[in-house]
Amino acid sequence: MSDTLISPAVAAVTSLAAVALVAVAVRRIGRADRHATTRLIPLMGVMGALVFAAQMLNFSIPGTGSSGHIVGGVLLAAVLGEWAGFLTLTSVIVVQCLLFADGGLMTLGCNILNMAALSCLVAYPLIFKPLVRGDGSTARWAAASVATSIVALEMGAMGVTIESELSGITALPYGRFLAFMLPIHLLIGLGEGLATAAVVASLRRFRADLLVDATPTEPRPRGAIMAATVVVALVAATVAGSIASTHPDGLEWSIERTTEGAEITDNQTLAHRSAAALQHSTALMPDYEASMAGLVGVGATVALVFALTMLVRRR
Amino acid sequence: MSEPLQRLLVRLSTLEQSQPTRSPIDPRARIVVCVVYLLVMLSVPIAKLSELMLYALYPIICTAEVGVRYGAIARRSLVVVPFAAVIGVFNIFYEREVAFTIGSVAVTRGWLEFVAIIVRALLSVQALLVLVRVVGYNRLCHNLQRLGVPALFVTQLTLLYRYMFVLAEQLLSLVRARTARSFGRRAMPIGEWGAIVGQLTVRSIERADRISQAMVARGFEGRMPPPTYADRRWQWRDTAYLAGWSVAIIVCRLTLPVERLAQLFKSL
Repeated sequence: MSDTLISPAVAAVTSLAAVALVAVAVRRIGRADRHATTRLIPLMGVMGALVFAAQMLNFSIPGTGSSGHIVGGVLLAAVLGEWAGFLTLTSVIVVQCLLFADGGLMTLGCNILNMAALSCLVAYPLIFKPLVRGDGSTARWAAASVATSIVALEMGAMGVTIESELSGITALPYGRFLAFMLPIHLLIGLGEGLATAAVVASLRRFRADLLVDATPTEPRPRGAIMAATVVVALVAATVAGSIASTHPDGLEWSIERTTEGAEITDNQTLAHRSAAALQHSTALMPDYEASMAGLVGVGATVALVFALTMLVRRR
Repeated sequence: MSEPLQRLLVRLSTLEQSQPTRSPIDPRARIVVCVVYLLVMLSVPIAKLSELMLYALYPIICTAEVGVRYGAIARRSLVVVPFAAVIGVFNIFYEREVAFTIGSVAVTRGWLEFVAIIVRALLSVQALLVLVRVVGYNRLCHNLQRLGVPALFVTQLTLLYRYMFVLAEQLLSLVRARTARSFGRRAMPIGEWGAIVGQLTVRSIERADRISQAMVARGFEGRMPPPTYADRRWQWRDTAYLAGWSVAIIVCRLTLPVERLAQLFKSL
């Protein structure tokens, strides 16, 4: 995200949030014992530089002839843990802004939240950790990398959309922006995930001890299932949303063509109209944009299912 | 890929070593003025393109003040244009109201906003590039710490910068080895890419361990020591610089001088 997209108010709020998170991360790392910190800090420096180096080396994306590079949030968290990974990715974003004119000083807060916080502090502990649970198979680690990266990138894309809309610089409506961002980031997330999986596989082969989650822990299958459900739901929502967002437009266009701009409501029956009115009154978001609605719908469904499982478990 | 990377790193390190000497102002004053400038400049509504153009004066004056060529800064800032154009292009389609006409050509508000979005992107990058060019990366990090950024984070920023050169060299040798054995195949499959980056990771971490042991042996306690040069004390002229620029920028924003001038000309 670049400075040009943002308003000062949004910049201030997101910067404050990012500063708070950095402060927490610094406190948490500083509180660890001295021996651990003296080893961790050079490691953080090296891993940050590694993300840079890895970004400069493009891999080819199969079948498309194009190439991509890595953001590295999940990789950093897998080697350094959540908070150190977050701080390292934040420093990468700061250096990109200061030295490579990538992003901007005012959007630092947004970029830290969208890229570092969502991948290291949200997607990694909620999806990656439960999915790999100790020493899983290589396929499991690969699946976890891909799933976590996709979710992190999709959430980041949503963050960019929300922050841009709140800033009010772009004239693009929210739903369309989202329908444009989410499918693209689904693909980017897939590439990022495969790249992360490739590096993680190589690390597991040579130095498995370097990965934070390689030490076996108590299995938590419920978390894994939940995480997998969320991933599948998000992906489905994105795909469905992007299809849904283009389809009605085409429909409206064709209706407009066939009726030559005439009002279509004239030949609606009474039953049709009352059904529409009922739907209108029961729907929370009657005039929604498709993709947003898809996501909210899935979120609500997941929450509902979760609540139901909790109820069942209580019995 | 290796040549552009090499060029970039060489340019970075030469920039770092060739700080302009005519810079008597405290870096902290420069950082704060830059933040004030960015906040105020970004608060100009994108409908007011003419006001926005006025803010181009800041990077121009700053470069002149320290004896850096503005052209170089402007050229480097061009990297953001494609991104800004992709974002701004939607405004052309959504804002079709005619703002004014030049002869028979109608200029819509969308086009003005499109230009404004690109100008905002250019100016914000230029302000930052000037700051980094004048102060230098390491001194900037150190002064961020003096402004209250946690020492641990500043240490991370400094270490990251130093290791960047080390790792880039290692990566170059890995890539060279790969190129020599791949008989002209340029595209890198993801598996191969993962193996190279994984190798690089393992090597770098082992190196980091050795470096950290060496650092601990020399008394490193988890924080970067202060730089060898003495910090300048805050002086009156730093206050004057800070106050002067901030007042000028804010007054510009509040009084909208370009619009007033235009109205004055119209009324004549």
